[in-house]
Amino acid sequence: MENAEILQRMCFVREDQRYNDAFSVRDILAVAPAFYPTWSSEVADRLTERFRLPMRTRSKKLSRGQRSALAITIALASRAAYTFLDEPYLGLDASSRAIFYEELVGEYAVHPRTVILSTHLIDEAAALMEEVLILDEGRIVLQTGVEEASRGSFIVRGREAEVRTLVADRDILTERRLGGLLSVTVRGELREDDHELAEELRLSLESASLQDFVAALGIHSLDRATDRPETLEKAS
Amino acid sequence: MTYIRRSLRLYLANRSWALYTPLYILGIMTMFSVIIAGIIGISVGYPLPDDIVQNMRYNGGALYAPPGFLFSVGVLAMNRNFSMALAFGSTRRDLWLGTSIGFLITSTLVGLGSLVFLALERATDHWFIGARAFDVQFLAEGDLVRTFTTMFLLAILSLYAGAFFGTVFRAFGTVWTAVSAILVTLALLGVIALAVWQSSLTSELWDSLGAWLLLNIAAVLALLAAAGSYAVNRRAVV
Repeated sequence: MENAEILQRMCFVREDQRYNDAFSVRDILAVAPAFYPTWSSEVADRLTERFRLPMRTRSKKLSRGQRSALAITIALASRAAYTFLDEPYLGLDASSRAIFYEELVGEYAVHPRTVILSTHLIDEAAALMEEVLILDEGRIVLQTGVEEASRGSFIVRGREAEVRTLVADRDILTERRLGGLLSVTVRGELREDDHELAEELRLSLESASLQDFVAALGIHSLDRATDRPETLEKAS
Repeated sequence: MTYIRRSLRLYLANRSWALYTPLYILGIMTMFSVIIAGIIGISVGYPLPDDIVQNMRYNGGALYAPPGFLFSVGVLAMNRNFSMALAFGSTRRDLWLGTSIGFLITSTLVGLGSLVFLALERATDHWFIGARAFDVQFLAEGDLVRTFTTMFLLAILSLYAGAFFGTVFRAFGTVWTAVSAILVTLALLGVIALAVWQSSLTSELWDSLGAWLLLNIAAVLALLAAAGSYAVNRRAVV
């Protein structure tokens, strides 16, 4: 049973959101305020201008980027208590994505609310996040702060024998081999003497970005699910 | 009521689509009827002779012109508006109720628009040349109640039929939409077969009710389509 009172506090414009073919952008933005008592025309006007949304164009004629810009405009202007952003940047160029991040942070600062954002550009969105929660097939595999997550893994590169010496007793997430060189993503924090040992073994040692870490966790999980002894990268 | 009003506003967001175009269609149908009568008059003279005028009394343009467009309005209202309404936090029930009020408004407008065209037709002595679009046999030749009721029912049946198939498509996909269209057609053919089989009863009903028999059938079909779209709408997913 749907609850109208609760649902009106939600805004969930999907990545592949369909609109009425007969509606122009202007029609859609004219009707959306009826659904949200908290709607901000100021935000909607500002975003349509910044994204240069063509107001008279029918929804079916919009490009991928314009559809994303329209979804972002509706989601932020709605000021809904629970705002879902489903891959909001698809088709947007770098400057439009920067506008989106800037407006999202600005709106959140003025009108705090719960924003659930699904994204594949993890590093780009990392600056927006305070806490990271990684789900794998419905199970929480990691829940921690962004900084802790970034410190929670590192990448070792170099000749295979030396790399294996350094990571011998570590939790290896993925391995990637290129000729005689090996690149290993390791879960866990660097130890005090790791840098010294890496220098001695002529290894490159660097923190993994959040995206590298999440990707490595995903590959690790896939390998376990398919019961493969080697990682996907290793096979290639 | 606030929640239902939101869905009504969604339905009416594009006025041209929900309100004006059905009236344009009635106007264009009238214009074509007059032009065709005018072309006939080039060879037989004006005003049109009696035998031509008698033939024009059977002009079915008002019956054929609006349903196609209104069917598509019904499909889009329950299909594309469905995705929008749910994205904006509406419930399925509120969408259906708000859209139904919109359907009533559109159908009433079609009925009233038909009365206006009928009045103009009569005031101009059938567009000055004897052309007929609304003062015709199946609309009881100028009977205001029959004209309004027939055009209203035609409109609301078309809208709900579109809404039903649009909702079936949303809930079950292409295959089941085709299956439901086949089943509905078979059911209608079954009713016709029943009417032919029980021809004496059908004749009795026709004698007592006349054209109102067809209007009652249209009303029942509209109610069935409305009930079907409501029931299926509860299962539709984005």
